[in-house]
Amino acid sequence: MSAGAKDWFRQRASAVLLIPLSAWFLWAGVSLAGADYATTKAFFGQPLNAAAAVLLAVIGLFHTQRGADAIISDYVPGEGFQKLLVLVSKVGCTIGALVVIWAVVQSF
Amino acid sequence: MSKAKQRPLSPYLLGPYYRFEFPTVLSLSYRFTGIFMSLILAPLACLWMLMFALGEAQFNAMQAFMGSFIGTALAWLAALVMSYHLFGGIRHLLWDSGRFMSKEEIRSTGVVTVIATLALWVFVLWGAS
Repeated sequence: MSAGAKDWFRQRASAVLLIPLSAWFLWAGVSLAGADYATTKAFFGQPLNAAAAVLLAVIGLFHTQRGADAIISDYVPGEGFQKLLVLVSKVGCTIGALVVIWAVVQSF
Repeated sequence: MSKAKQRPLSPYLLGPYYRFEFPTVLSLSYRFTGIFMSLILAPLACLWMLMFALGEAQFNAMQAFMGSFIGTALAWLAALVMSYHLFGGIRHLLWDSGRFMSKEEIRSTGVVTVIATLALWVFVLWGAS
């Protein structure tokens, strides 16, 4: 597979995985709206919710970064500025995923 | 200039190339909802998880913000945005598999996408209330 085909496939594969994970996110949002700390801790203490949160963060932020890449190359003029913004998006998505993993680990 | 650098730009500038119509609005909305989730929803969700990890006092402050007018409005908007990007994404995946590519189907799947989006949004808001 060429680099472009690989990129295309990864974006779509992450999209497919995000269909059930988005549904979980909406359900989690409804469940945790106004929830107190103990309830939230118990929520992420359940293995299925913990796994869904980690998978959503990793796959969702991967998908976010691929999307950001496409938006940046479509609208941002100048190769240097493009590269800088792509780097910023990669660092941001990585930090976000690490934060979520750390938070989920904390609730065990 | 090398051959690779002479590739044409995608005609995203509506201008003289495309008329502004229903599929245009859906296409722009799909991009906009992706950008909204990248710049607002994902950072907000990560911040929420960060505050949860930092402890009870920080988490309570975050929940108080989410319960405020701005927090609630953000959550409602995020549910609409995510719902649209979800169904719009399924529509794109179907296109990627070669289905629903005719002009009529682009319109009809667009209508279905909007209806499904609003239905899921109402369902989520009803669940949260």
